Amino acid sequence: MHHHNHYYGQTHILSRYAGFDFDHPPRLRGYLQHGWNIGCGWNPVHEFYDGAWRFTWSDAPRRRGHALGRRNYHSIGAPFLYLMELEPEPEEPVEREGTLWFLFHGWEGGKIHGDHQRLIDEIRETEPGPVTFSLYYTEYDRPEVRGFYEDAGFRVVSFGRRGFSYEGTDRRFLFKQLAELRKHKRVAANRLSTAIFYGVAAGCEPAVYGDPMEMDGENPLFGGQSRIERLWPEMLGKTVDLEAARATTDLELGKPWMMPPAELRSLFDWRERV
Amino acid sequence: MSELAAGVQVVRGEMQPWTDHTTPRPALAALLTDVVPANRRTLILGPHAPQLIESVLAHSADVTILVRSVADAQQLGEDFGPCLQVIAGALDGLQSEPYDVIIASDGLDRVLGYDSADLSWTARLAALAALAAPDAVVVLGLENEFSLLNLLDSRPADERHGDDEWRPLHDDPTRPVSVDQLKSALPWTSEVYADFGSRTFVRADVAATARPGELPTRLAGAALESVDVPLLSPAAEGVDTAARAGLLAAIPTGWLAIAGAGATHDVYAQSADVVLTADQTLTGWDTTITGEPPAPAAAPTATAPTATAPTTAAAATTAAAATTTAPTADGGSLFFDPSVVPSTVPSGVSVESVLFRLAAAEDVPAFRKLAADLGDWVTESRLVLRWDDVIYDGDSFAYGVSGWVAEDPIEKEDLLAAAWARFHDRLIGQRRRHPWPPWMLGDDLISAWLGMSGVEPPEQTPATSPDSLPATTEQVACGKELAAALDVVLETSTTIVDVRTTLAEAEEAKQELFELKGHVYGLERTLGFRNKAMKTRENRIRELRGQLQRLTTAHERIRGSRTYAVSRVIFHAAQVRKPKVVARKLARRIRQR
Repeated sequence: MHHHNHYYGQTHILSRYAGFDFDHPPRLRGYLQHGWNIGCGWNPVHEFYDGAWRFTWSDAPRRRGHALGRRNYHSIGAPFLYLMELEPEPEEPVEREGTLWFLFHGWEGGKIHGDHQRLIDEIRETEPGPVTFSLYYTEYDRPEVRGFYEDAGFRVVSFGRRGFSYEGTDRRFLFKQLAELRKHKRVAANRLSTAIFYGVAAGCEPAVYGDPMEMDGENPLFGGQSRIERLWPEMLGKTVDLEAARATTDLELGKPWMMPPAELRSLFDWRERV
Repeated sequence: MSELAAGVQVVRGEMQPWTDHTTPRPALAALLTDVVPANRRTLILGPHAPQLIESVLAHSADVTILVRSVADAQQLGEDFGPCLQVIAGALDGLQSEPYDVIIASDGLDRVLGYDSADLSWTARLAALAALAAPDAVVVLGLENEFSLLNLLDSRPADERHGDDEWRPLHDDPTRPVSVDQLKSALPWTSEVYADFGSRTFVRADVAATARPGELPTRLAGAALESVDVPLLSPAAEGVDTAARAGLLAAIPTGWLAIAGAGATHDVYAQSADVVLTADQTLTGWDTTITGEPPAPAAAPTATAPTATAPTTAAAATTAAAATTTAPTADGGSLFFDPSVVPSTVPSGVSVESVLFRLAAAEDVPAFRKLAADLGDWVTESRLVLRWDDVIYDGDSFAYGVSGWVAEDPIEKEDLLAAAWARFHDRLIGQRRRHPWPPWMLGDDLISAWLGMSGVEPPEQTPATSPDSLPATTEQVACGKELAAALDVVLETSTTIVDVRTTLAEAEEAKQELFELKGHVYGLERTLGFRNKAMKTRENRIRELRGQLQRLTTAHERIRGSRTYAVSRVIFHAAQVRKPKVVARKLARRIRQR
């Protein structure tokens, strides 16, 4: 329904899981959460059409949305988890090494600002092995940002674009991210974010540290960084309790809310039609 | 006192023409059987169904009945003959020696005629007490003005009581409206039963401790479902709330006070033509089925009454109660089999109440887990499965007191489908909160729950026409028919829709329209995005075509130039690797010409 549903190829993954075509997924009747956040699952000013159904990863965004006067929620679990089922790790996985480090990224409407050199220094001090630095294309395409990390000797990667208006979506974005995560022992970022949860789900040890940086037009409606510190302290720091992190990750990505393909087809109204 | 035909006597205050409607009340009959002492001088006061009269006659030969309607009295005289002394007239017109037993289970609202004095409820009670011996057994009914159904009745007060309220009987300040007030008003020490629609009687102190989903609450709720009263809102929610408040004994349709009688059971509940009795134990309930011989649901006969023999549930035979039936999918029928009702039922709440709670909390993972556990527990059986009669203690499940079975064993998948279909109807019908979208309701949702219980989903088949039914329809068809058949025998289907449901349906229709408009907007928005994407691609194609055209023009211009021709000659000449050989060949060809 909404073009955001195609971001990172999430609908494509669910379509394949439900037994439909990956490249041309059926229209999804509602809104699909496309990233973890501390609010209702969408940005604070996201518009929804009347009576829209909202498919969240987990129950917490549903509860927060309910408090905002919104109804018609159903939690389904993050599509990334379904991808992990579709693309299981090889029986003999590659030996994990180093850290996949995610820089808090901006988006098409907002650039980030911060002290990249100080962050690099801190990463060098902290990370025991080689560092692969993941930049979203909004930073990857800015030589002045990418150069910092390349010059620091890090391997710099980007998984592609999430697209806009059904154009330019890298449908294998999450495939590439999953593959890269499975090569690394640690996942780290300067803010608690989707990538950290994906990393923990993919078997990495998480770490969240360094300058969180700032983004143009950040809306503090949901409480910002201080609320994250109050709600998820177990996910923050250079070393964290892995069991606690896994438990939180399962909850935030909605692992208990995952459902079998037939149920997903019914839920999305993806019945076979003439 | 004068005498009419058929040995009917008449005292002051009789009514003619008039008749008082009565209905068989098997649970009450079973209660009277336990209460009425043998061979004592007995008065039945007010209109009582023949079945109830039979249960009294089974104990005593000296029985008198006082009814205000002459026509009813004559009919009773004809039906029962000399074994029942029938008097037509009003309570205040009866002068008699004291009775050892007085049965007034219909209450004191239909014991006076239009010619009687305006006696309050208390005055009528005094008149009754005057007819009772000092150690008499008295059974007295009282309609509850504070009953849940009364509170929810959608009719104005003056439209509720038909033609027999020539004086406002119910607006009587002396009339008790609680268990305590009733006990205080009676001149005898009494045991009080809460009467739910005359189908279920629960000892008041037991009802006061019953909580939502527990046996007395389940039976009370089911009994109220079968009462045909136009309501403002469904009663089920109120029953549960009252139970949570410990007020189940405060909201029944009536009470039955019993004075001077010995021990009875805690619960009497009608199920088809049999009666379940239950007694609370430390761990649950001991149950008994009082069965009656198979009998068509016709008018009572004048045959000599026989005592109904109580048996333990486990020992009762299926033949004892093959009475009420309903067709099922395979052409068979459902009937009540007392032998499948366990003789002990654990305490605990119904699975349905837990599922309702999980659905309202939108806790699908816990709902899924419970559904999976139920799927593991259920096995092929003749007993029709219903989640409102499966007891859950947090770890294990146990069957409740429903004895409705099919003739032949039903496959596990169909049993589960029947249970989920019934649950679906009750969840959606009662407009309870849940997390599933409207397009999923119906067969798809039942199928999804079946999937949670471990039943393989049907294979997706491509639709062949716009009207093609989804594969789930066939999967759940048998279960739905079983659930419908169960509804018929439980007599819980009512044709009267309550006001809240009607309002909610109207609001839902408006909401649906609102949401459909939103859906159209969403589709138009998607089309807008797609259109934008198409335009982007169209522009790109146009750009590429322009580039191609420019390149083609340039290419043709180059190909037509002298420079290009010379370059081609040079190019071909350059291809010649052995010029001497080529020269020799050319020379040979020239010579041959």
